[in-house]
Amino acid sequence: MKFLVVDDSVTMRRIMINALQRIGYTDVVEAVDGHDALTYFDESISFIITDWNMPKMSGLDFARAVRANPAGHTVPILMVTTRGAREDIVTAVEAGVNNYILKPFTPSVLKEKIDRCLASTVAAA
Amino acid sequence: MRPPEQLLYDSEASLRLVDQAIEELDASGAELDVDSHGFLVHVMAQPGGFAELSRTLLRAYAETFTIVQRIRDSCDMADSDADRLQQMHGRLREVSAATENASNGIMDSVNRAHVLVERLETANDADRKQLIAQLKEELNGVPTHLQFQDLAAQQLGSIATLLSEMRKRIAQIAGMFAAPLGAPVKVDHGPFDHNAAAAAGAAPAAQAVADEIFAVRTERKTA
Repeated sequence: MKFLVVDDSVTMRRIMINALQRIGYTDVVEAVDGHDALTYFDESISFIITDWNMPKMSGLDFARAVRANPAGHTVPILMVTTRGAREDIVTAVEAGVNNYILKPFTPSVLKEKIDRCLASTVAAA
Repeated sequence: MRPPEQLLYDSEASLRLVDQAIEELDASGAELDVDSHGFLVHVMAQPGGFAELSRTLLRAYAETFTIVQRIRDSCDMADSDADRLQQMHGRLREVSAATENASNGIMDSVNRAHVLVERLETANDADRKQLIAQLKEELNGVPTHLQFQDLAAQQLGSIATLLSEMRKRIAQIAGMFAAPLGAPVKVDHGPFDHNAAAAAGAAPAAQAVADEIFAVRTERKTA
C-alpha cells in the first residue's frame, strides 16, 4: 500500500513517516504542499495523509482536487491538522476528507484512523 | 488633512502673531492711563483692533486643536496595539510551554528507556522479549513529542504577522508627524493557524468533536 504524506513541516513529515513505518507501512511518498502533492498523485497512491495549512495549495484544496480527479474518487484522505473548530471539521468533510486527526497525535491514534478509513472504504466498495 | 510640516509652520506663525499682538498691547498699555475707556480706544486704534487679535487667537486655537487631535489619534493607535502585544505575549508563552512539555516528555521517555535497559542487562530470556517491546514503545513515543515544532512554527508565524501589523500602525503615526519610517519589512504571511496553540491545548476535546462528526457521516453513508 502506497501512502502520500503531505505537510510543509519537515519534522511533521518525518514524524508521520516514522509512525507509518512502525505500523508497517513502508511505501511512502512525501510532498511539501498540495501543489507538490498533485504532481505525485496517480492511481498508485492508496492512501493520503495531508496537513491543512500549507503554502501554494492548502490540504483542503488538495483534497478537493483529488476528489475532482477520476483516480481520486475513492482514495482515503486523512487530514492531520491543528484546526479544531467545528466549522473547519465540517468543511473538511464537505471537501471529501475521510477522517481527521488533531495535532499533536500519537502513533496509536494514527493507526486507529488509518484502519477506520480503510474499513469504511472497503465497506463503501 | 494638511501636511504635518505645513501645520507646524502655520501653528508657529499663528502663535508668533498672538505673541506680537500681546507684546504690542503690553507696551502700549504702560502708556495708557488706568481708565479702561482709554485702553479700549488704544486697542481699537491698532490695525485690526480686537477683531484682528480675536482672529489670530482663533487661528492659533485651531492649529493647536489639530495638533492635539493628532496626538490623541496616535494615542488611540498605540492603545490598539496593546491588544496585539497581549496576543503576542500569549503566543510566546504557548511556544515556551510547548517547548517545555516536549522537553519534559523526551526526558521522561529517556529516563524510562534507561530503566528498561538496566533491567534488560540482568533479565532472563523470558522477560527479555517483553522488556524489548517496552523499550521499542518508549523509543517510538519520542518523535511524538517533536510535534511541538509544527505548533511553534505556526505561532511564530502568527507573531510575525502581528508585528508587521504593528509596524504599519507605527508608520501611520510617524507619518502624522512627518517622520517617515524606512522601507517596510517583508513578512511571510502564511500559512498558519492563529489558534494553533489553543488547538493543541484543546486537541482531545476537538478530536472528540471530529470523531463525532465523522461517525455521523459514516453512519449516513452506510445507511
